[in-house]
Amino acid sequence: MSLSPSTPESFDAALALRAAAAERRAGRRLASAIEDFFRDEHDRLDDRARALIGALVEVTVSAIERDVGDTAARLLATRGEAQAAKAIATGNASVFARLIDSGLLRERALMDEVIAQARVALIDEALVANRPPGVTTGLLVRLREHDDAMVRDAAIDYLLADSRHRAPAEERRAELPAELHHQLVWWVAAALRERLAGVSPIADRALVDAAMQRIAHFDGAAGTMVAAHRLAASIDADVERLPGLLLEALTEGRLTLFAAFLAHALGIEMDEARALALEPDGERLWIALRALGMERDVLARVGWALGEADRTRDVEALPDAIDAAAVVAPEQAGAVIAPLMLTRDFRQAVRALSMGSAA
Amino acid sequence: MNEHLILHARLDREDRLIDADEGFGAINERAGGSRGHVLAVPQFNTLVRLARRLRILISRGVTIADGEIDLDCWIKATPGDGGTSLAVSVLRERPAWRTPTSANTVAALPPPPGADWQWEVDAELRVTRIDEQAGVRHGFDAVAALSRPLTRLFALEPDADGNVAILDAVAERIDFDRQVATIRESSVRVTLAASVRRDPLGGFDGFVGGTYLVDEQPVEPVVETFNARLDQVLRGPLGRIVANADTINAGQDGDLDPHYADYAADIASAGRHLLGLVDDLVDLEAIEREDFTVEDEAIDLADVVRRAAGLLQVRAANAGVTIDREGLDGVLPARGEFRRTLQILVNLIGNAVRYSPEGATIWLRAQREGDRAVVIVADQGKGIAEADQARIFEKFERVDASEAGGSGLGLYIARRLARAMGGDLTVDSAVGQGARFLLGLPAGE
Repeated sequence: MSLSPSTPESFDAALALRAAAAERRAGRRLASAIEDFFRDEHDRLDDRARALIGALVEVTVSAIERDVGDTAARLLATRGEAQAAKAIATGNASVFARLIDSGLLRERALMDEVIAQARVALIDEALVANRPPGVTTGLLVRLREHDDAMVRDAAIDYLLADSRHRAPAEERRAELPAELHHQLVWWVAAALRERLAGVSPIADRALVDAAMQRIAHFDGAAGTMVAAHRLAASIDADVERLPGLLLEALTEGRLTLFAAFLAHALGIEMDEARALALEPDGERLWIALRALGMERDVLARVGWALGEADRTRDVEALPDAIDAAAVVAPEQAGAVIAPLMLTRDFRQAVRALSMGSAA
Repeated sequence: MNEHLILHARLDREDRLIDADEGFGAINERAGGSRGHVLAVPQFNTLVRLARRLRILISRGVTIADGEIDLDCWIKATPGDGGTSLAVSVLRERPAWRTPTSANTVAALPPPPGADWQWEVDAELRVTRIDEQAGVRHGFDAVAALSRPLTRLFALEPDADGNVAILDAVAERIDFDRQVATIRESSVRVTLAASVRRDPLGGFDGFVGGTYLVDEQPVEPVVETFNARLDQVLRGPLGRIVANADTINAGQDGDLDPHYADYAADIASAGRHLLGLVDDLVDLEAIEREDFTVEDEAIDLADVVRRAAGLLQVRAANAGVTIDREGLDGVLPARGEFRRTLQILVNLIGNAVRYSPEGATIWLRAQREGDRAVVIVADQGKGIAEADQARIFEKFERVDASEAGGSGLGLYIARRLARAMGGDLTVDSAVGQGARFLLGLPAGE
């Protein structure tokens, strides 16, 4: 005997299912409310950061969606699958919403990168806004007219990358490293696949080809991080010039360049240097600056500029932190940050392990 | 930078006020403070304390309430051995009830709408963002503009009253539009518009701007170099577009959705239309030149008409139109240039085919009338009102303005050519009765 949809038994079963789902939702809501309540104020995203992060992710996903979707539709049209081409090109289902729903965008490395870029953008803006009236800057103006052609070219490359990056919010994409970009392309392709009513081998092939094209066209070297790092390497500043360059980079509102000078001087990777510059309590940054032999005065000025530009920092706690760091000997400081110079994969493994044991 | 009112104070090592100038003292006292105590304005006190503890010069922008007004200030604290000195420069004051001009940021500030391309400058009017492709399109080096003053990219021009809009906008921290300028490198004239970006205290922090190309009729509509460059600039790319579209339409690259094949056919036909326009413009440039001449040869006008009709035979058949060539058997000697005469007749017969309804007939006659050899091209189209008969020989006018296709140059060029050969081109028509075009050339021996 089979149950028709209207039997009391099936009605009860559906009701029970709905009730169970509602209970799960309530449980999730409570969990996130508790998490929210106990969250440290300094760890909380402010509204501007939240908005910028949202815009960066959405614009980035939409750009890939447009690109892969258009290419796939074109390929399908030429391969005689007009129906599928239309479904891909005109589907209303939002790829962005689908990726959020699926939880895929929660990927730690991806969000780490996007959040860092959003924070850098906001800090850059604040650094410029905090500049005393009448203070003019000339770091990049000087570098692009530099006597050394290598510095000149690197400065122009950096300015170009920076110009591209300054697109208005609705066009601004995150500058993703290759592996994250490629991963996102595949996610988008998978979400586009769901627009097709029935999946065919030809449609799958077209999506794969479109995604591969996008990946092949990716230019990882075009971003500001890479350009800034190259510029810092071409300048190759000595200990005397480094403090001036670091402070000028901050005055010009170029935290990425600040991180690049740091990365080059310490011999660490760009993302590590940027992480140092973004850390709200700045503990590791002071140690790193001490390892480079910087005096208390430089630490204080860097600390003040970043403290004023970044709302997540506590500027009242800054003097004590600087006092504590200033007495650390450069050799001692060097030993503390030495692990940063190790191979990235090893560092990440050590970090992952320690986080696992803490939980 | 503008001169601002600057107030001074000195504080001891416990941040207590030692002395201050009159202005500073007044603000501090109105807030409830006095000499020998810590400053009563909390923002001042905080900065003094931080400077003393950090042991470096620090400064920040703050807004302080002073009675009925709010003061936007930039305060600077300099620690020293004996204590800290404080300088307050008052940037502007405003009534307390007026909210401060909020800082706007890249995230919040859209560029001016509809611009051909965008740019951004910082507070010193140095270019921080520019559309690289715009440089390629409009003939300047976008990369060279980066980090350099905007005025190096654009030559700014004052308006009729002598005002330079962008300078007024900087001074008053407001948006501007209609700043006339010229791109220095390419001499392209443009107008600029921009939204002002403000810092947290409402100060000027740069512009987010747009460039609008000025549509200007050049004084000389067709210059000589135009002709020389046409081949490479227009003909080449158009030829490729037409060829590729034809290939797609023919389905040589594999199966194709019929819609796409149709689009390709449309693209090819639009491309051909543009190629035709290019040809017309080259002719126009040639015949309008002062030194334009035609060959004076002995030609058989009847033979030229037969050739022209032959060239259009296929098109006429496709349109369901008959070309009646009776009476073209003989010889009609005339003087003129063979190639140009053929061009005129192809144009006339082509027009007749285009404007004829299906099933209609086009009559061609060649005859001698006194000292002139005359060709008549008569159609059964809707005809041309008398009032329009002069107009259709003007530049960029068409027999039927509602009809797509054609550059509006054909008849203008045809008449100019006919006259250059010592003849003329006229029309004789009435609405509803078709049109008769008469090409007359000097009769030959």
